[in-house]
Parts: sequence; C-alpha cells; structure tokens
Amino acid sequence: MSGRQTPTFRIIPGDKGLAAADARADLHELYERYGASVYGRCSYLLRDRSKAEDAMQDVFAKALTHYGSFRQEASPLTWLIKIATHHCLNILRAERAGWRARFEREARAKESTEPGPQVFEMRELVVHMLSLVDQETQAVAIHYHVDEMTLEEVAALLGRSVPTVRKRLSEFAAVCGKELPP
Amino acid sequence: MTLVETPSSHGNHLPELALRRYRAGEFSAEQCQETDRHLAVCAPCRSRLRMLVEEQRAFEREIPFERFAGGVERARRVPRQRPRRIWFAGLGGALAAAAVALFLARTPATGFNRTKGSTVQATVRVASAVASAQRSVPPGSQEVLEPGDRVRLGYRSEEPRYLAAVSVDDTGEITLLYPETGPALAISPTATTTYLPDSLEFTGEGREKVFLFLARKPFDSMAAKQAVKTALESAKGDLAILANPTFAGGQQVFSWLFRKP
Repeated sequence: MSGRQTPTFRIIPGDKGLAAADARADLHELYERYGASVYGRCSYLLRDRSKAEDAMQDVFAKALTHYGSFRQEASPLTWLIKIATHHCLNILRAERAGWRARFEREARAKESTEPGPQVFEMRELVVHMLSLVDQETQAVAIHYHVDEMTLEEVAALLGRSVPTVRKRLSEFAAVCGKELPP
Repeated sequence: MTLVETPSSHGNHLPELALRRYRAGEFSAEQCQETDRHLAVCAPCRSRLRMLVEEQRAFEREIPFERFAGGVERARRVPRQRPRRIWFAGLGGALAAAAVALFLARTPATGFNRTKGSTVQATVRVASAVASAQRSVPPGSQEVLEPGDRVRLGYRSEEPRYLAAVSVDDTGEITLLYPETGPALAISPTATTTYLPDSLEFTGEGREKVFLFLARKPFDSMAAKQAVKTALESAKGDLAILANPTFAGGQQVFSWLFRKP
C-alpha cells in the first residue's frame, strides 16, 4: 500500500466555539472508530479491565485536549495507539515492583501446570518480556511485533533512526532468547 | 521462538495496524482498493478483519457510549491523582491478611455505627498533623480534613468476615485501599476495635468518599471496586448523592465523605 494516508473522519475546528452537541458527536465518532483499538491496547498491557478503562479515558481526554495536533495526524489511530502505549508503559513503570512480581507469579504458575516446551503467541511473548527491558525498547517491541509496523514506521513514530530501532529489537530478541525455554 | 528484525517478518498478510486503520476508515480510495483486492484472496486477513469488527462490537457492549463519554470528560476536567498512602515505619506497602492481625490498634469504642441486628461495626479515626488529638468519625458522616490529617479505618466484628475498602474522588478516580488487589481480607472475630494498618492521607482537592465492605462470604476486591464504579455512574459522578454500593454476597457497607483541604 502506498500513497498519502487520508483520514476520513470529520475534523472539528478546535475546542473553542464548539457546540456541546458537536463535541459529543465527534467523541461518539472517535468511540466508534477507535474505542476498541485503544481499549484493546490498554487491556493488553495493563491486564486489568478497570485500569484499562481508566487509561483509555485518559488517552481520549488527551486526544481532545490536544485536538489541534491530533487532527493534523495522517493516521489518528496510529497517534492514539502511540499515546495509549506510552501511557500504559508509564503506568506499568510506576507499578514496576508489582508488575514484575505478577508476571513472575504467572510464569511460575504456567510452569507448574504446563510442563515442557511452551509456545507463546507473539503478542503474549512480547507482553511477558516487557518488564525486562527499558521503556523505549518496550515501545519498539510493541509497535513492531504487535502492531506489525515496519522498521521505518516504528522509527518515524518514535522519532528514532531505523538503526536504533533495529538495535532495540535485537536487544529485545536477546532478552527473549535468554528467558524462553528452547 | 525466534524474533526476526526484518520488515518481512509479517509475511504476505496485512499488518495488524493496517487492518485497524482500514476498519476505522482512514485509508484513501486507492489504499482501500488495494486492501480490498488483498482481502478478496486472503482468508486469514478476512478473518482478522472480522475479528476486529467483532472486537468493536464487544467493546461497545462492555462500555456503552454514555459511560465512555462521562469517563473521558472526567479525565479531561481533572487529571487522575491517586490517593497517597502514608506508611508507618516498618510496615511497607504490601498488605496481607496476616498483617491485619499483626498490627492491631485497639481503642475504646467511640463514634461507632452499629447496623441494627448485626454484629459488625465500623469507624474512622482522624489524626491531626498539628495536634495530638484524634477524632472518631462514624459512618455516614461528612468530615472536613485539615492539611496533613491522616485517616485510619477501623472495624469490629463478632463473627469472621471478609473486608475490602475502596475510595473514590471527585474526578471519578476509584482506588482499592484494602487490599490493593486480589481477594478480600479475611478478618477474625474481635471484641475490640481493630484498625487497619497504615494511615491514609488524601492528596488533591475536592471530596473523597471511602467505602468499607464487610461480607460473610469471600469476594474479590475488584467486585467492590466495580460496585463503586457502577454506583458512581448511577450518581452521575456526584459524590454527594453516591449511595452505598452493593454486589452479590450480602455484604454490609459503611461509608464516609471527606472534604479535602
């Protein structure tokens, strides 16, 4: 696929002067187009429906607050997913101790109930390994392996060079290789 | 399992994000045609697209628009700010049921509310930052907090019970206080008042409403949090009219409304 990406949802002229009904209609459009994607990203990372809903609300609140820049985006979805990922990773970092402990508990439980080689879906593998790498590598791994963006797309989204993204992915792969059973 | 760092790792299928953008209507006419051509011959991608459509339907069933819009509006008005714990020396952050038994603070009964016909009572003790005096606050009360005031929850039960405490503030932020996650705390019968470990100091402005759930049967603390969330939606976010929430299990609920300094 090539060519300029053109968002088709209706653009509203900023916050000021917006009639409440218009703002509500636009929020409804965001809800229908992007609600599940953002909520899915938050649920995937936070593993808690209540926290995910709160995080999703924060992300859409940011979108409305920064609507001027949001509406300039070629892909509002990509922008929302980036913000949601960043927001959730920050939440997880704040809860770092509990997060690691939880995943370690889950891993032990899995070992005790599923002996032998474990086969993870890629997205499950990624989320289980996130706590072992820094936040930039986390974001790179999620956008590449879960969103299935290209190296170039990840680099553009995060404002990094392609070699840097490749290096982060190599680091992530090395960590996964150490942690996973053969 | 191998992680390969090349763009070709996604194979000949449409990437996840591209399918999501297609569903969201972000593609140009040219991109749509190209995607349609691929979907016509690729069953796995058609299947993934169907899953995305169903994912949105499930999302709308789980979180109706009114709830979504209310939450976004609240988050936009006031950024979330979690109540901050003041930990007593040596207690740390982890709260286990055993810790409740270890850190008992028994005092004469004052300011209690006893539910008629029940053997369960609850109270709150507020300690001032500037004076040595403490005051008891019975459930159902409104209390104005001074800067630095610390709040401690207490209970008395003649029978074994399961306990959870939840707070909610004016921004709609709901926080599990006791326990912070997992099953409700199992408490032993006690003839005197038992205070939960640690004091609480609420940050931010506005009001904070605290609920204490005491049930005969085990329950998960998330059920208590969800019950508060449901009640908050019914009250349209107004803590003044927020009723004591309930959920399956026949629990007794006590509440206090604090106005933060």
